[in-house]
Amino acid sequence: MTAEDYNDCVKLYADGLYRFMLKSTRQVEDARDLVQSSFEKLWEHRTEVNTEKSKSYLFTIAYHKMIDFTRKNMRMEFRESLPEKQVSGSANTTGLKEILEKALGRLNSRQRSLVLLKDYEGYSYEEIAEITGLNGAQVKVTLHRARLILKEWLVSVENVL
Amino acid sequence: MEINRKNYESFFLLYLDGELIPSQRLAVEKFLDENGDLRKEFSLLQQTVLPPSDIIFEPKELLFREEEKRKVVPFYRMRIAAAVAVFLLGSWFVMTQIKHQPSTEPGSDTLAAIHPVNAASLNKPGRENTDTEIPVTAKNQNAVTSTIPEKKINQAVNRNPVQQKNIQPETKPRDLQTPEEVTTDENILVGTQKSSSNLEVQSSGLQPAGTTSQTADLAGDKSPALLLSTAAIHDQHIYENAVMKESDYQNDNAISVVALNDQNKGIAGFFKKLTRREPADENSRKVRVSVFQISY
Repeated sequence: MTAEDYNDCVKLYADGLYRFMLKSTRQVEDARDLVQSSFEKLWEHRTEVNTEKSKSYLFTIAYHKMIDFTRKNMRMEFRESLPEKQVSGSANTTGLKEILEKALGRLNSRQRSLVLLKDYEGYSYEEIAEITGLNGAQVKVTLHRARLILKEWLVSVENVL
Repeated sequence: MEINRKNYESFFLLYLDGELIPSQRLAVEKFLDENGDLRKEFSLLQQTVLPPSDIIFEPKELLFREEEKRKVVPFYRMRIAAAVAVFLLGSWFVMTQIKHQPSTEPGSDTLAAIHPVNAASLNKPGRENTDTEIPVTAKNQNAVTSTIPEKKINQAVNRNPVQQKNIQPETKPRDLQTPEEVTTDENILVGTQKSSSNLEVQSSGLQPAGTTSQTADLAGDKSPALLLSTAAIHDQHIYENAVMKESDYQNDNAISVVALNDQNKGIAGFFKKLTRREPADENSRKVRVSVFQISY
């Protein structure tokens, strides 16, 4: 891809990639760093990357960077999850969107990533499998499990309300 | 596999994820119509799909890139650069050749004129042949050894081939290693050291007469071909050096010579040395004329 193609990728995919990273890490600066480092890698390998594959290439890079980041910050993520659980159980919900935002915190990183890739980016199971390195069956099982967890969370919130 | 009340959940999720083909989607929708009690569960699963988000990354200028502009060197500049490179390379080659050439030129009159010491010592009164001129082609730190027929010394000596031999001058007399003898027309001490032996003084006060005698003997047809010094006490030592083979001189690249005057101080100047070669026949004797310049 050319520099122009690369800049087109920035325009088309930077927001989605940032959303994916922000929902995954829940840290603005970390998400921005991951986005920038992912685009940096795309720029370095632009001559090897086909423009049509640039989006999946970007998300693949970002996904693996995020997984590494999450593993390194496992303890921090655990501390952050505690207050959210307490708040979620007691606060009044202001809408389905916010409930779901908090419900994502109930998922593990793989489940969350797959839901994000599916719902926000509209990737198929096959494409998600390519990005995450999982096989199609794993993607299906993981996604279905995540949906059921989210559904149970919604049901529990409704019962509280 | 068709949807039923046992596997409907999986079909519902596949339906929501868009993983079903149109016919399967119709089958799910028909199943929902027929099983109204499952519509709420379908609705709950439908609510798990994340709504669109308005999150954006700003500023995107952090991510935009431009190709680095490469400097294009015009072709004519390349030609100029190539011409300069060829010129410099040629100049270096020529200078290298010139640097080595003078020492290999036989009998250079110019170089002989540069060394008045030898000319003066050879042209002193009392010698039978006052017009003898030893070709001197040595430069600094070089010694010239010429092998010439004795009978032709008076003639065109300058045309005789000259063999150059490098000598590495030493600033420290203790490190000297040489089998050579050095004579001069000044009152000097000549120190030589052979191998690890101590520094020995060969001659204390080689007079100009010694050189004169030496030169005179050179000129005579019947005189001995080799006379390096008038000091009789060193005859044996001189003889030892005299019979050394040519290869002994030429193959030794680690010759160092130091010359000391009567005040035991190093001197610099030109020196000559004559050694006899083994005669090829009775009527043809040869001497080796070695000229040294010692500098510090």
